[in-house]
Amino acid sequence: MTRFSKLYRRRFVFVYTWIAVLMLFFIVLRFIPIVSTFGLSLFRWELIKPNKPFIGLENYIKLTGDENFLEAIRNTTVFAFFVVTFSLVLSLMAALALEKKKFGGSFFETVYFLPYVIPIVPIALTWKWIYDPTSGLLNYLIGLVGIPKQGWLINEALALPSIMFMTVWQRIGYNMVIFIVGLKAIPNEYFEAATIDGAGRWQAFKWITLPLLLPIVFYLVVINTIEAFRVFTQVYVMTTGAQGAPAAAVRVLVMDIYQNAFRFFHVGYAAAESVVLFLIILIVSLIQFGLLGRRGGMR
Amino acid sequence: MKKLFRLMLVGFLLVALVFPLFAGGSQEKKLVKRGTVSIWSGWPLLSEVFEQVKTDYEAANPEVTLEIAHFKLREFEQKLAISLPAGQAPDVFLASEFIMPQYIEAGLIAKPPEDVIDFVNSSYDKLVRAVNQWEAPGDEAAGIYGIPHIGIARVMYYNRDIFSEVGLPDRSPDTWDELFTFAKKSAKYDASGALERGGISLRLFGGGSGVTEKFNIKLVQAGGAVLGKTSDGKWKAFYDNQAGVDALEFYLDAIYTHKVDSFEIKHDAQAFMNGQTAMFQRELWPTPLFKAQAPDLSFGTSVMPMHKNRGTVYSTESAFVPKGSDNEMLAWDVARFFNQPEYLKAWFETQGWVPPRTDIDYSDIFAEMPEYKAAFDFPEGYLLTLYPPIPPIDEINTKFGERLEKAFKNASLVGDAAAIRKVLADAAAETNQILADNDLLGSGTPSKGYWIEAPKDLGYDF
Repeated sequence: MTRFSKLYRRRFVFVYTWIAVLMLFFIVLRFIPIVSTFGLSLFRWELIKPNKPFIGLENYIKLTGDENFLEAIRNTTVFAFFVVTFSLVLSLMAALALEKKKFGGSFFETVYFLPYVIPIVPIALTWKWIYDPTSGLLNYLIGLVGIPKQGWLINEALALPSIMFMTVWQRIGYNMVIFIVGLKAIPNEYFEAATIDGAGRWQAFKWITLPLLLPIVFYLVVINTIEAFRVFTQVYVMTTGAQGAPAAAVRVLVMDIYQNAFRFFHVGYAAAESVVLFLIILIVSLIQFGLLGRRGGMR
Repeated sequence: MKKLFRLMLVGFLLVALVFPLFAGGSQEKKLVKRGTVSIWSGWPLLSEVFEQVKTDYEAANPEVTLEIAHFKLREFEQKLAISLPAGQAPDVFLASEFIMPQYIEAGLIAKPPEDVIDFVNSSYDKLVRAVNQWEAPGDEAAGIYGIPHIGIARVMYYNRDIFSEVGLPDRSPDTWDELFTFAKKSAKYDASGALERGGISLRLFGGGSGVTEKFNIKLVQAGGAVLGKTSDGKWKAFYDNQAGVDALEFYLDAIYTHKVDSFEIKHDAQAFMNGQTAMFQRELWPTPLFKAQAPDLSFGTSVMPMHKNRGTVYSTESAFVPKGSDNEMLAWDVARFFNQPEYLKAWFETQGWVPPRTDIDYSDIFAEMPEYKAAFDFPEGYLLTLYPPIPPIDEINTKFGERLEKAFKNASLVGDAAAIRKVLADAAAETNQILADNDLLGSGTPSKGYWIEAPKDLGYDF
């Protein structure tokens, strides 16, 4: 009995020591900055000016009339909606096609997954060249079928869709691999029973595959939505900077926060934007929990 | 024990009373050539000469180590903004004059010692001295805060071979009308009518304040500026007027009416070097680049063409030392060291960065690079529009630039003066709001933009 208690105590100490270390990292690197950001948003906190007066909700009130901020919310929401929808639909289709494939399946899985493991900066730079209006590959290809050259990153109507397309392409691999895991977990007996009952492939998909995949769908929707709302790198690399870069700046939320904080040094104002971004992601995630969570077996 | 404690307490009080007698009052800063001096700049292309500076200074001062770091310009400005208030700034940094007012107002920048001020006043041209005058809290009058390193006026570049090919004279255009004539003759189109070779390369995009800077060149020529000073000593937008309309119409005409520039072709120095445009506007740094990388390129430079005025944008870079640096006097010594003629001439010759010192003989450089003269030899009445020395100027220029980029892409504005005025009015409202947020918005209309007439003779020996 005494030896058992000693062992239990040792395990207890070991487990909670490591949890405490991780909690410390979490508190210092996440919790404190998040709480500080909430606090900063209530001040006119300029990086260089010595006076940082408390102004309450003035930053938030100013946001409601800020054209740049409202444009950023619109663009980010459109971006998130289309990227999440298209990347999930296309990756599910790829997963369904590859899951049953006996020969070459691994090869294609690798090919689709590769874009996800390559860092986003070289990918964005490569796509910037693909979209180049004078010497880009895409304009060359469409030129072969008689379509005139397009300013993919210059034309305001095309700039955001061009970045969305690149992001969907990059995310398909990850989503596909997760879907394949989910598909493999569905017992084959269900499909055999459905076949015996005369169900076609579409009916099997609708009544067996999809409902059993819902927890995976739910997970991917939440993760992809959060990622999409945080879009920044590809927009920054593909549409800004470099003198002579033929591109339009596509304003997204994180870009606006970055510009306000580190270009114009309005740290308090940028903090207010960050809080709004946090609340948007929280609300969207809660909605998704509500719509999909129950069906996905989360309750 | 009690006795010991009492003795310790008395001893501590005595030290606390006596210490200020030795430590109190201002201590004269002395130059001690020992330690590490860190130098930052936002111009990586200056690194080669700085390496020579480091080698030479460390050889002459074995107990001193120079740590030199160059960053991309925007990253450098961000690092500076974070490190200066935190007391973690380098001992010396090179910065443009228009980002300095906020730091000087916040009391973060050291005033140079008297001998450095005397050196600048006696050796540097009157233009760069006039531009670099600031007031700090407690100052009685504005003064110099740094050692000027560069003074840059933007010039017009033209491709001599293209002009010759299309039968144009060997000179740059004199007026806006002539510019469009030259540009239309120089432009080339492919079979589908798309522009293949531009007549002039304008800064149509690229983000940031660069778009505004190049637009400001046309603004000053049209009689406007981004900001003007009001009678109460504050500021207001000075482009929501006919000058702004003229300048914006210039860009729209170039893209849509005369079709001598477009978004789809390459731009700027790279395009000019590759013969993809006949004219463009820039500082002098492309000149040595073209000589090195495109030796067959035959080009000329000149002052800007005339509309209502003839003028261009002028800005400077100086070496500054943060206040409270442990190595303040050593930092000034290093800053004076790399402003010696041999290094300044090396930068001038190899990078086109114009050192604003009139006590150096540049005749050998001007003989080799006659293209440099356009940035010094100003005609009568030439206007130099400056960056207003106010903290929010970068935000004003960046946000105005973003609106300009959108306007350039809007073909429906061509010929619609009312719509153009609306674009400018909306932009000016934003500019004035930023000024108001910083308690800088003046009342009334400025009588002129923030420019000065270029001195006829800066004192340079060509």
